[in-house]
Amino acid sequence: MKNTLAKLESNEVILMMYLANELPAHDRDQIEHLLKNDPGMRATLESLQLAWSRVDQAFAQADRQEPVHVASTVANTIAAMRQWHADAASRPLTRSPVAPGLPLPWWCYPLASAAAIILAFAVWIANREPDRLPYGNPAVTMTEPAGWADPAPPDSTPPAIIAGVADASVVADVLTATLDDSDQIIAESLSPNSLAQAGRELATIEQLSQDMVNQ
Amino acid sequence: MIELPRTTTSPLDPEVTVSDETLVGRLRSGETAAGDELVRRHCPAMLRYLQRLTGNAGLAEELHQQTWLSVLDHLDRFDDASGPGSFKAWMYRIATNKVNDLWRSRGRQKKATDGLRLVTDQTFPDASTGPQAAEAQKNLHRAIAELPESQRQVVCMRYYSNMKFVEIAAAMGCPLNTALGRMHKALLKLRKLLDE
Repeated sequence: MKNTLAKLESNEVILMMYLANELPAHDRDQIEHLLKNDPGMRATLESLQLAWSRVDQAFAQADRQEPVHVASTVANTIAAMRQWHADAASRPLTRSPVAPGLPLPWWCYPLASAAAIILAFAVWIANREPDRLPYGNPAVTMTEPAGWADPAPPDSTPPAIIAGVADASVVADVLTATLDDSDQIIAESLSPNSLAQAGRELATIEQLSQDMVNQ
Repeated sequence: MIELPRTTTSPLDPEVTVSDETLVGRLRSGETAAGDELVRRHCPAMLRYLQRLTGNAGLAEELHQQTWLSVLDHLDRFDDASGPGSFKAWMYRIATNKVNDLWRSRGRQKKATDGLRLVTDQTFPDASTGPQAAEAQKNLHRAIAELPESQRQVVCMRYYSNMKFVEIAAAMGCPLNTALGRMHKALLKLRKLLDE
């Protein structure tokens, strides 16, 4: 309660708490000190006090002239409450009883087993060694066939599933390149210029070989 | 020097021998008589509060009953460890919500205020009172009807329940500064309207 005054945001609110006598003693002393030295604040307090008294008086006067039917209201309310208790006592349990030893419906058990198997399979896939794949290293190309068998460094190995996807992509690229090369080789070999060139090269090789034998 | 502020005891304050929270504990354990005692204890103030908010004695009685049935419905949610006076604040919150629900079910708040004004216009003073008292009574009805709902609730709750402002703020579900600010505005406006 020591911080009550600090929590109040305006003078009006502070004066309301003061008038209601709900401030701690030390806060009251502080307010009274302020009131002594601040005529404006004192005038605000007096105006508020008058308003409060006037309202209290009006309420009291109106209550004297307006009867309320307390006895009948109490009787009716108590009767309604008794009825509520009676209804509550006869109300059936909302939760259906369960068979002993089988707290869940029968279909929960196969469903849980299937879920466990799927989970175990997913864990196994996620932890599979990437070097078991022939194309485990995504950096390997057809020009470096030796690298196919090299295991990837342990800390740089991506998860197996992701690595598998990456490997598939690399292999697809390599295969496409290989097919392109093959097509080019076949096309070149079938052209007449290439055959003549090959014949010329063969003749040159034969000539060189003959020269070497002669020497 | 400065006269001590207004008394905090209400004419409708019940004489308490056993705390509300103790009675709530007994009610929870199945002692229905404890519930009866709570109803008797709080009925006069609660009924006045509801009557002042609705401006209608029949509606006030209906809402009073609904409030207590709601108390029973949600008794397991009440935290009796939250201290003395907490039950009263909780109960007034339920009652205030019932009034708000009523206005909501009848349309917009403006319509409710209009309806209240209509009811207060139709309220006839007790024949045993003099014309001056009857006029004063009518003035209060009109002045209260002029207040916004939140100000009307805080001023009526303060007068009838005699709760501290901290408890009123809890009952209204708003910060303490807000409750005090509403009370401040309501008092100044009421005084002006009453003196017109």
